[in-house]
Amino acid sequence: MILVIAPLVQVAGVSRRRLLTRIPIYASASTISATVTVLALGRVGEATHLTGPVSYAIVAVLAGAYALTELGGLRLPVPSSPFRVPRRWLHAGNVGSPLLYGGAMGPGFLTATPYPAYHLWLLLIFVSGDPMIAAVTGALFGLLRGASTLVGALGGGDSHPSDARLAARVGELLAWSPALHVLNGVALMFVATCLTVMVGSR
Amino acid sequence: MINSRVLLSPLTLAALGGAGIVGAGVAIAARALGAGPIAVLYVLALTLATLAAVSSTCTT
Repeated sequence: MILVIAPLVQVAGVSRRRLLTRIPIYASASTISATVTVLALGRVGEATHLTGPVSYAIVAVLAGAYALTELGGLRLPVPSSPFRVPRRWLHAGNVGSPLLYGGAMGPGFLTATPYPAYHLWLLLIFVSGDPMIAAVTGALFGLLRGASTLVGALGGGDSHPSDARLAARVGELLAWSPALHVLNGVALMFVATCLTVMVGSR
Repeated sequence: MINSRVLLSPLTLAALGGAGIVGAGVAIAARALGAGPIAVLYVLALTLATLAAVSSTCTT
């Protein structure tokens, strides 16, 4: 995602003042679109009445399996979108551009998602059938996704960074990928055991 | 930086075990405190949403 976001805030010609406009617009659009999308998922989950021990047990099993996948012990597919943000969105204006980016990228499913914590989160929202959990965590997710723009913005250090400098910054962030896979695995194991004990003690 | 080929090391296996113990502890504590499943689901959903958002930043 960082390769997609970085040009939004580091495109040549964007001044500091305009940057201060773009970042809040992007973060707001990201937060709102994520909240609305995940809330809709929560509402669908509520309507399907799938909430219950069996659903939680299925999520627990999947979380455990993906925890092992994240650490290389299993090979399970992680669904990810091949969608690429159109390059022309960069030139949609100081307001339009961050609105388009934030609106499209906020919910998360339109861009690459190689970490299964995202999928398990959506599944948990669906089976919980609780719109409030969906809205609260959807807003948090969208806001944090929006805040990632800051990483791209601060990474350049100025409004006209060289390609090499940007590439170095992206490389630094991508170097965290293996550690994040471990962290995802550990968190998914936490989720798996927590749900298992919760189901077992009901 | 961690080599992806050695992710299943004793250290990460210990971390997995620790996460399992903490997860079980949270569920047991929630029940002991009289909190319903929704409270546990909040904790889990907030954990996953935060991690998913932070992780997604470090992708291309």
